[in-house]
Amino acid sequence: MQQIPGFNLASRRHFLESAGLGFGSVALAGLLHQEGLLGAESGATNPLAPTYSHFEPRAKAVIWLFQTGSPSQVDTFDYKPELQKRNGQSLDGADPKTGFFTTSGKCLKSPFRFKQHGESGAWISEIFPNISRHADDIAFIRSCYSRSNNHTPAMLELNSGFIRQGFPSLGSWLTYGLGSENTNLPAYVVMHGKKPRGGDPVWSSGFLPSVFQATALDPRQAKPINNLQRSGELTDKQQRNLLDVLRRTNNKHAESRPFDRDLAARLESFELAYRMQVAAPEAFDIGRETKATQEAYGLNRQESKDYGRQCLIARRLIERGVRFVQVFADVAKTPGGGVNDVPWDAHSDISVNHGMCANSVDQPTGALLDDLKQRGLLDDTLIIYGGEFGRTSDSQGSKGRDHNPNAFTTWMAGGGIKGGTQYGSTDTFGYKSVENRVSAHDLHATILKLMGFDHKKLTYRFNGRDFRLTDVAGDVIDALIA
Amino acid sequence: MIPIRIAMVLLLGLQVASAADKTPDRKGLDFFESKIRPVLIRHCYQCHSAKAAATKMLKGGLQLDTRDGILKGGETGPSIVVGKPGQSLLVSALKHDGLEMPPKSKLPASIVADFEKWIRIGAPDPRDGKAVTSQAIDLEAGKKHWSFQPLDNPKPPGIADGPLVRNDIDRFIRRAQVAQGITPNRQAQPITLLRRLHFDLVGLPPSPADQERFLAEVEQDFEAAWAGEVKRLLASSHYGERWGRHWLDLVRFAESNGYAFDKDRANAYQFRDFVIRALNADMPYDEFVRLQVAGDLMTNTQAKTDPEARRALDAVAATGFLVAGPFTTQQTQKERERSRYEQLDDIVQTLGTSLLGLTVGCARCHSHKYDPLPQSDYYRFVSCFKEVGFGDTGLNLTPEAHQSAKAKYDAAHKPLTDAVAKWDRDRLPTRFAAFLSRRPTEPPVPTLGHWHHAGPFSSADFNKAYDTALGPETASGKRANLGQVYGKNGIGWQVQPDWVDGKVHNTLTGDNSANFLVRVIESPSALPVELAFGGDDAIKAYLNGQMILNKKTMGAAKADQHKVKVTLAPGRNELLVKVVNNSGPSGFFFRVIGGQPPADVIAAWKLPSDKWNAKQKTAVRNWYRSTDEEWVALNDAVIAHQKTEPKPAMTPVYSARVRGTTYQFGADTYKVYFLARGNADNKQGEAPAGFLRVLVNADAQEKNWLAEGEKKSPVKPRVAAARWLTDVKHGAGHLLARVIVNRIWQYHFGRGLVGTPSDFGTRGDRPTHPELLDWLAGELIRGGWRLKHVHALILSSHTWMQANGRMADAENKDPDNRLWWRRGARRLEAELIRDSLLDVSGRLQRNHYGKGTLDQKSNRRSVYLTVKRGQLIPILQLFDAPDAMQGVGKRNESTVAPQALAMLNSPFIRQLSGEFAKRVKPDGKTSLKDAIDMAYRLALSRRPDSTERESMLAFINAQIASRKGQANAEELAIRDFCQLLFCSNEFVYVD
Repeated sequence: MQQIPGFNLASRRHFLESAGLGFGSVALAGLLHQEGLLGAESGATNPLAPTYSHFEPRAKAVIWLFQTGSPSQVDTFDYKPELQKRNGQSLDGADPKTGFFTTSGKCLKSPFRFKQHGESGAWISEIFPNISRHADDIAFIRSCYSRSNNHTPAMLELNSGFIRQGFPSLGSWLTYGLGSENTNLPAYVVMHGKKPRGGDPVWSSGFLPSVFQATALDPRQAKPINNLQRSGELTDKQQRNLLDVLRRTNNKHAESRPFDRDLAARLESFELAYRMQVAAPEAFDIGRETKATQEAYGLNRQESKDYGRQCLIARRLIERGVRFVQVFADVAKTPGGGVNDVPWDAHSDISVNHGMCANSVDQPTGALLDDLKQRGLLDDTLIIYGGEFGRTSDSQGSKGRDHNPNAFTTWMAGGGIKGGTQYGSTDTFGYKSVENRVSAHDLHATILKLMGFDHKKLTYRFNGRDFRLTDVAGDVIDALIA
Repeated sequence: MIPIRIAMVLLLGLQVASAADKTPDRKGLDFFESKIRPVLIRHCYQCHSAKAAATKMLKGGLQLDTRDGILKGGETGPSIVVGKPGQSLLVSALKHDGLEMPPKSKLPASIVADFEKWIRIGAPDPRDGKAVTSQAIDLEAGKKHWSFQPLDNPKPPGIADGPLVRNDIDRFIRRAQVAQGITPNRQAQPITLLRRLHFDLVGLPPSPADQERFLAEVEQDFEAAWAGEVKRLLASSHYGERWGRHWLDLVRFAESNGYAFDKDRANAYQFRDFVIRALNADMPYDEFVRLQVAGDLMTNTQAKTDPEARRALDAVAATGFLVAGPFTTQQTQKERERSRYEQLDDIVQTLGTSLLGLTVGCARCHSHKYDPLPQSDYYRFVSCFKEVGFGDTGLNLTPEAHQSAKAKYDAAHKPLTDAVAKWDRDRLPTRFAAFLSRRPTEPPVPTLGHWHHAGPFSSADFNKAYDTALGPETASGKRANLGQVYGKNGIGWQVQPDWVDGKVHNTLTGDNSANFLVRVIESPSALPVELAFGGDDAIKAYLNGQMILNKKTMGAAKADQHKVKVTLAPGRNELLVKVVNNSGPSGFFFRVIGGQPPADVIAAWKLPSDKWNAKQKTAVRNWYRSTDEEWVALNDAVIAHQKTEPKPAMTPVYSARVRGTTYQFGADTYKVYFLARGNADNKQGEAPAGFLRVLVNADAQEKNWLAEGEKKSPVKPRVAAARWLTDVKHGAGHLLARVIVNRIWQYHFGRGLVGTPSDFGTRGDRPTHPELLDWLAGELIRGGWRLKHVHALILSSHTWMQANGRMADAENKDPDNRLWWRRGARRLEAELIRDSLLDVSGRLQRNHYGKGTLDQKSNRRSVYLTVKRGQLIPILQLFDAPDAMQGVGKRNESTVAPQALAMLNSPFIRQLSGEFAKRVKPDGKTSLKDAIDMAYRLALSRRPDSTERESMLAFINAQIASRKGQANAEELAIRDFCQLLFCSNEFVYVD
């Protein structure tokens, strides 16, 4: 492992093991910072102080809008006129076993119209009128591929770089590398409706210490985070009194055990917990937003209210210093082959499914970009948008498309991204990525770079091996970076 | 045969430039790995590789799978000119410029551009010239690494016993301390030691009674008291629960498949029980390991005695080790082979880290970067496990009970069969003679009347229609009265002369409905026949009121779907059939099989009986016998009794199974190949079974384990692997022993003598006390591999028994406590926190073994909570329990606010605090002072000092005062106090 000055993961790891302080990503403590409820923590007990990076970071936070179930590239951001012309004809080189089922081998044209947008002239499907407005902020990567044609392993790959379970997700790696912006900040929040196919392992912290794990929650719930509410048997004053006596008891215990730094950390964790009871729920309280903001995010529309809430909370969290927010698109209705845990999975009808899914996600996504820009947050916030793979250019049944790991589009905007970039391409029919192919490792390497890390140097030793998010691969896509 | 065109073009190749000989830089190699190698593998190797050569598929004599091959080129010359893409044949071929490669389709321009770039930058290529099975690692040099060396046999230093030296362990430890001028802590207080010991060995706090008894014994004789307590707890059945959990961490134990559908492994708990049982019984560790690797192949699963059956259970359940890893049930065809290699990798990787402290998995794609593990060793070792699949193995755990039941049955059965034999002897000749004298001209056959149909009888749902007695079923004896009309819908019987037999009739109707069919069968005598039925979606049939068929099939009626053998009574027989339909059309099928006597009987029938030969006579007599009422009655008794024959009670055990369930992809499913770069698309020949040669002694050979006896008969590779692993003299046994004693040390002290417990390779930590490690490993082996012997040594050492105080000199000289001059306070693991909460609040149930539960509020110990990968137990997760995806040798230990939030606010903890409170102050008679004392003794294993008592009393009184007017103010205040103790650091940190 190469070390660069000021970046000593080994000692940091040791520090975490010996002094792991009660705050961390799970703690959501950072939610409190903006409220001024938390004082500055002393540096001595903060293992996640963000002093380490390899490069000047271009973004401070990430919002990853995961389009679960995998949107079709040729119906969204990868316009293929030849496919439109050759509808119903055989697709050259088609492999009917590309996806999960068997496809027809016959070209299926997109039911949607495409137009060019912005000065960059990006071709975008009519189902995204709001995302289209931001064409010049976005870098499109039209040559992505994944290694599995199956939702769960592909989702694991996009999140952890491995198609097996058990490896840390991007959010955990970033939290491990970056810590929080200040001592009180949490790092990693995942929002979902129904949990996506693959469940909790998708955002696992794997073998990294659990301080770096995600706090996953369903924001539709009245109490999305467990144990924040005091028991009805205690008033605030009674609980405070309990904590005061606990503090004295723990102090006395710690005094005679000067070597065990964990004891002090645990003592502090109770104080932090006490303050979080008030402040954490506030961060999730979208009732504090104006009606205009709520409506801009589509909270007044049945179709977009769930995903809109996710996006709006994502902004509130980022504002309060959360490092990494991942949204698994909660789509209201998923006809045409999709189901709740993989909404974009349009096996039987692209037109109906993608029409409905886009109707759910387009307005809030556009609103989030508007909102971040307006608040001056977009420059520091990296937005990632995409699914776990693409869909076939030939039809499944008469109107659907099957999984296609060989081609899909991911786009990024904001922190450090060169807007208006069109990167990579698929073949004439959008069936396979051919030019500047991009793997999950490449995406991860690029994201780490934007966050200030050399992906080859961000390592963690587990069972005798130095693991990386990018395993033994990954190239930074410099063309995307402004 | 070489295509002439290729040969012609390759002739143009030029000399190889020297650039390729330089060591290529990392970036260039990365470019090769990401852009060039995948293309070569995918598009070229089929015809241009060592494998192609081996299978006589090589074209043009060109091998592109080695650097030398590319540079040398084919029969007509080099394929590239380093630095000059324009002059490289490979590039022309890719451009289909003269030569067309790949022949079927031109690769995209971007790939060609990549090749041009690659050649331009010097064609960096890490592949060495030899095949993948070649050995680039110097094994002899590798064997010099400390952990691969044979065990040293160190003598404990000659340091006399004293206050700081209680046994040989202390002599090794003390020597290093003396050398550094460090003095360790004195022995800890007896009560501190008692709590430490209880958590260390059984994972539960000592009860107040334990405390009293022990302190009383200490008054008499500390040494005797201590030795007695260690012995008592080592013999406790809770020891296996505590230490078994460590083992479960190491082997990624779980009870579900993981991945999206996370199917349960309902019988995987048998592995957990095996571990607990084996540890409690102090099974020798080498045997413990052998069973887990190959127990299923080393035992008799058809045990005759109960002890033998219990050994079989251990042996079979133990193999749960191999198959505890994740498995995804949803697989596309394209993923299966890759997934199979992932699964095998999971097995050897877990085996390597847990048993040997070696990162074997790192040699999957290339020879190990740091340890002497060639890639070929990896695949040969994997090959030992190539037939391993998983599944439930059924075992009869009480064969003796079965045998005695069976003997009883046999005894009761014999008179019945004897009666038939007696009848055959005594009655058959005369009865048969009488029959012959009045034999009709034609053999008797049953006569079938027309079907009568009534229905549909509709119900609320399908199951109701099926289960509820409807229409004629409600009549006594299930006899249909063909004149009857049923229900308010007036369903009556309709004769159906067109419903012929032997044909599927899809004529019935009605969703969630039953239709009834009835027909009369006249039989001239008792007559054995077989009736064939079909029904959509379910069918019941009654003959003369007796149920003869009851089947749900769900789906269309088919010919001969169900066959039933019956004996028709002489005269009138009534057959009632119920066909139950779920939805859509419904139908049935019916025919009589064997309504006629067999062909040889019919043939004989045509002749006069005196013309029959012996064979014909026997045939007719046997047929006759089956129609004789006397014989039928006796035979029916035999058949009825047969139904009571005891069946062995089979217990399903989740285990490894030879060629059991795994990812299926055809002929290669249970084979292992050498894979270049770990890629299943690049096979390099089948891998024979073998072991890690760095752990094979110079004077030994792998074949020694693979064959046995005078005749050198072959040993199954997995059994051989188990022997190699545990062979101290020639195999891996010395490393196996070092790794396990280090783990035991770590679980007792918080850190191993080797700080990286699952990595004893060159990148792992060196032992702080190598001689002590080897001495302990030797002690383990000398003591018959019994772990409890090692525990006892450690637990009676001063090193383990010392206090946790400040020692000025030591703090300066050894702040990290590498020399063990103090004992750190250690946080309880997740399971112990939960178990202690339950125990202290009086809820813990201490029963052992059996199926677990996912309910974290269950009263059983945490080791019995089900480990479902997709639904891990929240409270255990919160306190760093592993996720069961990969083996864990050392848990992370985090201290985060959500833990504090749970202790403060979770309704479960609050509820337990309430029960704890009731326990310490069950009634008004108990004083607050006594309640506080009892709470301290239960939760913290000691009495409070007077300041603590006063402080807590004040706290309780303040909490009562703040609830002025509330009837249960005191109860709640004590609950607050009990929760405070649960939250205290002393509760979760053990000195």
